[in-house]
Amino acid sequence: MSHEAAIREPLIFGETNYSVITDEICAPAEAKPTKHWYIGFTIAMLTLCIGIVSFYYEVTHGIGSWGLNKTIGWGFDITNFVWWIGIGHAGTLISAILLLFRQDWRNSINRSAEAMTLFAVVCAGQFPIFHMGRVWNAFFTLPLPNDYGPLWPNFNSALLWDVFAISTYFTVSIVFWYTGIIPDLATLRDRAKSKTRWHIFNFFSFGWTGSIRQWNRFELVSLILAGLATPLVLSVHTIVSFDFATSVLPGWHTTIFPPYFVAGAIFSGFAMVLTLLIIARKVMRLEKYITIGHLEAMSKIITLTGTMVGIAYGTEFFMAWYSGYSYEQFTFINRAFGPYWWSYWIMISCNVVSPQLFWVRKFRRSPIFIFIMSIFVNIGMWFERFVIIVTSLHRDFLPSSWAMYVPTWVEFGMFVGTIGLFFVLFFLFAKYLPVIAIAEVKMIYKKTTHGKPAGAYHGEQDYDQDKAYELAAAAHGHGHDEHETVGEHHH
Amino acid sequence: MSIIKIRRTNCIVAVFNDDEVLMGALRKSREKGYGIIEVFTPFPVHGIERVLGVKRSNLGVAAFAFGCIGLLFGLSLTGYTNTFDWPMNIGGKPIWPLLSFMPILFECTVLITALGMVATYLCISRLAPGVIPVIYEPRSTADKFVVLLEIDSRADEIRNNMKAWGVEELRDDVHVDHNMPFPIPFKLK
Repeated sequence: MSHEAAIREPLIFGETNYSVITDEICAPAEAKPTKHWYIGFTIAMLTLCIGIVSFYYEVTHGIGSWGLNKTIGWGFDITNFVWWIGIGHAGTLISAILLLFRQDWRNSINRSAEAMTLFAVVCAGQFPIFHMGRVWNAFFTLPLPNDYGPLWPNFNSALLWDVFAISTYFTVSIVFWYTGIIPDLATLRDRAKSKTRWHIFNFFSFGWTGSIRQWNRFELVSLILAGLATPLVLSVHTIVSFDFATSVLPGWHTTIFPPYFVAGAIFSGFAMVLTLLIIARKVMRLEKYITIGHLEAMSKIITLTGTMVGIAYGTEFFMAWYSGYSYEQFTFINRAFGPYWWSYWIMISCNVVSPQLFWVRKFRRSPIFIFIMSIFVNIGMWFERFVIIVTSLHRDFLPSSWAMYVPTWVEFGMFVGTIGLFFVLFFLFAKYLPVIAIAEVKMIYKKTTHGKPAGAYHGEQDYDQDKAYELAAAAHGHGHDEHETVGEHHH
Repeated sequence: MSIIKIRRTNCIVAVFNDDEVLMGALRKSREKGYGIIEVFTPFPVHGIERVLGVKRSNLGVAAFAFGCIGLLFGLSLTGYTNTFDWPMNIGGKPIWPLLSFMPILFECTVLITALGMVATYLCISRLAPGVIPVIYEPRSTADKFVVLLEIDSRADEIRNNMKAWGVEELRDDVHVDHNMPFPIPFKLK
């Protein structure tokens, strides 16, 4: 067993053991839904209904029911698409990239973050599909054998790359997520009180027993999937950015887009993870596992990626000036001071300015503050996509074709509807499945909790690192530290 | 669920409460040369495969093979449709533009690798929807660590040693959940 320094903040709080961990994480999935759950689920369902009406209206009346025009061919649809896809990225970052970097704090949030990825991609996928207008012909994007010539999709097109990237991303994410959840479904199966429940969970847990060979392969498969998902997630938003960057439009035609989009995606994704987890940990009483320390770590990533996005905004302006290309210069001046100036400044204040508040330790350890901030970031990142798409399109090379874009109720309804869909799926997930990877939390339990001085804990959530340092130093002064003997004992 | 008891004369089930105690007992069992048929743990206990002499899985090889298949699939898909079957002149660019097929090739490689490797993993681990597992202790997926030990002429010695090494419970009756045939015991090297 390896142990870590006593002053490092523990990732699981309080006195516990393997049995308690299992009970506490399984409890919400085994209990009857609470009143909160019913209220939340009903609101989400009603919101989804708004979406269903809007989608129905759009399919029966055509794309003309949107506020698009000849100048502005992309509006809410692609904004929402990119926003949702970006949100998905945090889940893969947590489950794959942080696994490769051996970041133990990912173990209590990876399950829910990855579920969020799947739901976000489901929401994202609706927009390009329904933007086709005749959705029943959506399969034309796939290279299927046919009698029309034959007619094949053009593999040089960034939009077709998107089809492949998003569908691969969704498939690999679902495989990764499901591979990880199998052992926990087996735990639920073995705890089942009724025969029906046992059979349901046995079906979905694939007959998992937890033998050494299964675990051995499980770990290797997780590692290789993480290795695959890491370049994959970077490729997805890179390819999404190609939708813009391969065009010749000022404001879109830049090489900075791939890294800038990936950073923005992670930024918005972490904000959504925080929005969901701050509520979930409170409602499902999981503060012991999703600690303030977890929230703080995510806030730090928000500050990092938010700053990267800020630098990208600056670089765009600099390049517009430095290129000496008047159309590019006009586009950026128009972004900040044109008719859509308000969307630009919402974007700047939410994405660049507000995350800097997390430099203050007190702020990034306050769940309420982080929650409000995560909403700001979600709004800011939505406006970033709106700014990029609409302000570049609405005033292009020919002033005679300049126009304004005003979304209709159908577009609003579709957007709101996908938020409803997202929450419906998340509520179902939170109710019926373990929201924390039970086995993975047990794996780090001893390492992260042993030898932590009891006096440094404040309640169920907070940990005073200075106090821990003092206590640890005092303990060392008195001789043998208790947890060190545990490690030596069996060697 | 009906728990049926199968009386096995050649093995016992040792249940442990703690992973470190388990590791100690396994290490000493190996030194004494006791036959360990299988170990079930609620989470991956690191280092256990080294103690038991279980080799690292070869799934990486499978992943690489599927990766190659995926790349070939991508190459043939793009090449057949856009270059061979219906070549298109796009701005005078080559009809086999490998560079702009790159995203497709990458996605195909990743997709086939992931699907193929996970399918292989499920097959060799005997995991599939609806497979009825043989569970010796229902809490082995929660907080118990279960060792299936082979009993030879040293039966009493094994029992006594296990107690000395911190076993929580020793069972002669092998409790098996569900009416399933006993698995063919395989001995670890």
